[in-house]
Amino acid sequence: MEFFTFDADYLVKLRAGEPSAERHFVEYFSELIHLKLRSRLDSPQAIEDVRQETFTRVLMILRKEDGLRHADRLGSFVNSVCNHVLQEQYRSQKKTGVSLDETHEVFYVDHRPSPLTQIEAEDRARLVRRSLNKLSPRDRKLLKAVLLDEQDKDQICHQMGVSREYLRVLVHRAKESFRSAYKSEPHSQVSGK
Amino acid sequence: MEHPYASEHHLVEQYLLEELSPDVRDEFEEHFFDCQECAAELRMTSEFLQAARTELQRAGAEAVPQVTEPRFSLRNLLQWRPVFAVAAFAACLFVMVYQNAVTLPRLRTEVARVDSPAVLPSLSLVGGNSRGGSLPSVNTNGAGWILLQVDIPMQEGVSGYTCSLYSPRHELLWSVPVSAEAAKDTVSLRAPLGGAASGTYLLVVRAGGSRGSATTQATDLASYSFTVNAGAANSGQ
Repeated sequence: MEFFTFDADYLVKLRAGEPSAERHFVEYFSELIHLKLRSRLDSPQAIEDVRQETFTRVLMILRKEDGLRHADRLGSFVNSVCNHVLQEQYRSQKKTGVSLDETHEVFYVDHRPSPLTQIEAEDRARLVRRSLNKLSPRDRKLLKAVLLDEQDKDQICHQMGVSREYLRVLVHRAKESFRSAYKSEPHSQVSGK
Repeated sequence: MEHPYASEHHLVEQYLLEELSPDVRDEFEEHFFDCQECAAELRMTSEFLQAARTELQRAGAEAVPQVTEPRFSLRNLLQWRPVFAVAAFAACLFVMVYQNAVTLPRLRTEVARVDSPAVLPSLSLVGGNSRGGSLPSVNTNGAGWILLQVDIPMQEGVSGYTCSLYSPRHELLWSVPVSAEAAKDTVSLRAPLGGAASGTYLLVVRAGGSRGSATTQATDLASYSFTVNAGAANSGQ
């Protein structure tokens, strides 16, 4: 995604409802909200509900006369609105005893990947495979245990005789290897870069 | 939070591995919603981890175990029947003698010791997280365990807690789950010391296992250090 400056001009465009600014705004913060909420809410439907409510409120406040004044605080503002929505969701869950996580999920959207998305995913998978193959068998085993087996990370590290710091650095190293593999292939298209 | 700090401490990795304490996690979220560089790094790392998960799963599914002919089958052993029979008999005899002479008496002694009443060295860690004071200490009088009393900082929406004890060599000795109900009062833990070496031990209290709350994975709530004197004759605090 391209870098965008959250300045006064950007806010003016958002307030005016300019489609390109709105599209960028929703796309940019949707991913961040998803990453934020996935450790707090289990179901995609619950995440989607909080995300939508956050955007509704943010855009509503932005369009008010005395809305957000400092454009460079837009990100913090979105985060804080999201926190409020999340807290409200927890509170209503406590009152009603029904969690958004437990509501039935009904999807009417076609989630099948497009051919382009599929090519990108295959390309990414190949580069990730190459990065993983560069790791020692023990490091691969450690990563597999952490990412796939739902065991306590402390326990995994203890069993494999490594510290949590080692695990952190291992993920960082594998990611850097993936990044350099990506950079060395100019035709690859990996989203989020 | 400043960007160099986030970058230097690998906060992106820590965030995605759900290793950050709730406070630092909130602070980092505040930061990456404003910092486009961290946001991009976070997206990339998340995509990498997701793709790595898929790849490792696929690699695991494809790794079909190969069936190989065992080198030492029962049939091979039976070809050497007389030699095998004598050796097996000798081994069984040795095991029986060893069990009767050594293992069983030792087990009887241990069972008797556990069954009989004894004064347990105890240590209260209630309010023991304060800074500046000296570490609380306990003498074990040769016992392999102590009684620890600890207050668990309650967290809203958390269904349970875990207490983990780390040895002076920072090895995890054990973890024990504590229900939210039990955590309302001071919790008493019968704490084996794993060989009872002298030194500074660390008890870490974590929250975990709740849904729809700020803590879904185990996050550190409190840690209590205390020293153990394994060989002393008198117990104390």
